[in-house]
Amino acid sequence: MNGIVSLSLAVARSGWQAAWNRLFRFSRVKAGLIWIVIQGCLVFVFVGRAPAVAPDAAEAGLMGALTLMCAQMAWFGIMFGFSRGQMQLYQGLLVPLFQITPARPLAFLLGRVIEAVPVRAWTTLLWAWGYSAIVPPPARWPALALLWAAGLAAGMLAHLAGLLLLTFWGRYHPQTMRHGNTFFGVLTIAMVTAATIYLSQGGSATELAMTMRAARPAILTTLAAVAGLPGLLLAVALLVRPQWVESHYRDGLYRVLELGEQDTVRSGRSYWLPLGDGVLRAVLSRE
Amino acid sequence: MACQPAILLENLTKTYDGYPAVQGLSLIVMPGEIFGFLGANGAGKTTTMRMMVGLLPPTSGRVLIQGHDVWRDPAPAKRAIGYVPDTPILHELLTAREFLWFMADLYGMSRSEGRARAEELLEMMGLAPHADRLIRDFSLGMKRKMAIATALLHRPRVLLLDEVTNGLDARAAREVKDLIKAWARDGVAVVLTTHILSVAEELSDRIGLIHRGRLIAGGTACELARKAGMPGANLEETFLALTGDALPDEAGALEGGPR
Repeated sequence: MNGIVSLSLAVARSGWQAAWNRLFRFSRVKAGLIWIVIQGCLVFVFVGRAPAVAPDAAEAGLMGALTLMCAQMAWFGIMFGFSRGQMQLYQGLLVPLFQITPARPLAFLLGRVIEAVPVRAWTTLLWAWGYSAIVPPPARWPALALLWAAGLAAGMLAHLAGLLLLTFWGRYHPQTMRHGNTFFGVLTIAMVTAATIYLSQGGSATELAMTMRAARPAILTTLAAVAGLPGLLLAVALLVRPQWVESHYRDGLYRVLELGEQDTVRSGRSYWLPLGDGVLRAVLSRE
Repeated sequence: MACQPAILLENLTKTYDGYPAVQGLSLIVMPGEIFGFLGANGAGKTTTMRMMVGLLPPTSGRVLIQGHDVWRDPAPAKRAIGYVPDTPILHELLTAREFLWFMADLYGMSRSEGRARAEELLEMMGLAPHADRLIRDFSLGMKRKMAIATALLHRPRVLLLDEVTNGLDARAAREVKDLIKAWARDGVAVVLTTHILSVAEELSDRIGLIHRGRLIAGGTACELARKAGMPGANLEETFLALTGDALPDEAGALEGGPR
């Protein structure tokens, strides 16, 4: 197990190094710095706006903010685990490197989970800062710490739940695995659109938190069923029966890769009509 | 130990939806031998290589590397293999040095050993001045050299080289060819695929011709010319003659074939 941990850390380190190189070290415009500033500004605006829009902020209280935070981070986590997990664990650059070396696939999977922790911690901190504005001043800073810890835990568990879903989906029905991305993508766009409409019509995070507080039992039960328990299951399985997780992941990976190979072997066939000749084609080709 | 084949392929087959990409391919390569694997585009060379290295599971058959099955006992087999793919597999957002360190971790090398070996290979491949540059910014030739350095990192006893001289300038190609000969002298078994027939002819102790997924002929360049009924012909003429009108009855000729 010791070897797995050090190997997982090496995988995570390579991911951090790549991100550091891309966003800071070799970026002429220091894209990472710009991104952090943009995130900070957005949350700053949000923090300033949340109590102002809903003067009865205190009514939402810590429980409302916590429920909102956990729901959001769980959603981000499960989506990240599934969609990004699919890119990293089944299609990414490191997949063939792992296949040609004696490194165990389990380290690859664990490494990707560890790699996500710093970014998740930072994003959760920003949101915790934002949502802590719902809590009245004397309790705000302890609330921020609590929101951060709860959000991080929810996000991590949901990430594992997303990976569990991905692992089983890849193992038992790899041909439809890509549709999961479409599902999460469509759902995310729908939620972002709904949030934008809600906020543009004068709604606020505080009001949302109040609604969340009212529906707390139902929301927490759903979260536990969708993200908490599956995430916990994978966490326990990784500790108790890592070979079980590894064999499912490895079998699924080869099934997915096999399907990919078949796609490249099949002759390309387009279901779109060909462009006509003449002016239209000339114009479109120039575009 | 010297009698144990470095590479043993037994009836290796790969089919996609009933389409046979590789059919019943059997082959033995001994330590210190350079085996040239030739075939037209789509003949099945790269598919065979990918099955040998653990990238693509075979539909049936076995791949043994130093006696270890790549698919049933992968760790020792993969520790023995160094693979240079036709398209280099590199983490392009790492620097050359960072990437070699990472690969050393994947091969289970100690930190000090991995770092020392990385420096040695960067020097050997002429990449030391570029060690702290992103691989993304490398030319194709430099990426090819990085792939070779990666394949050599863990001192493999079996080297699988897929179009290894592609993208290299004349000097670098010469250096790589000299290195391949040196590795073979040290007892490393080398399998190389190439479209450049002169490279295969110059380096290979034996050559195998794969056509439509079948190994249709094998032996030295002279033996192949005789099999094609063209004694004295060069490898290009032989290759065109054999692959233009394949000899299916010679499938499997290399298993236990002339040494």
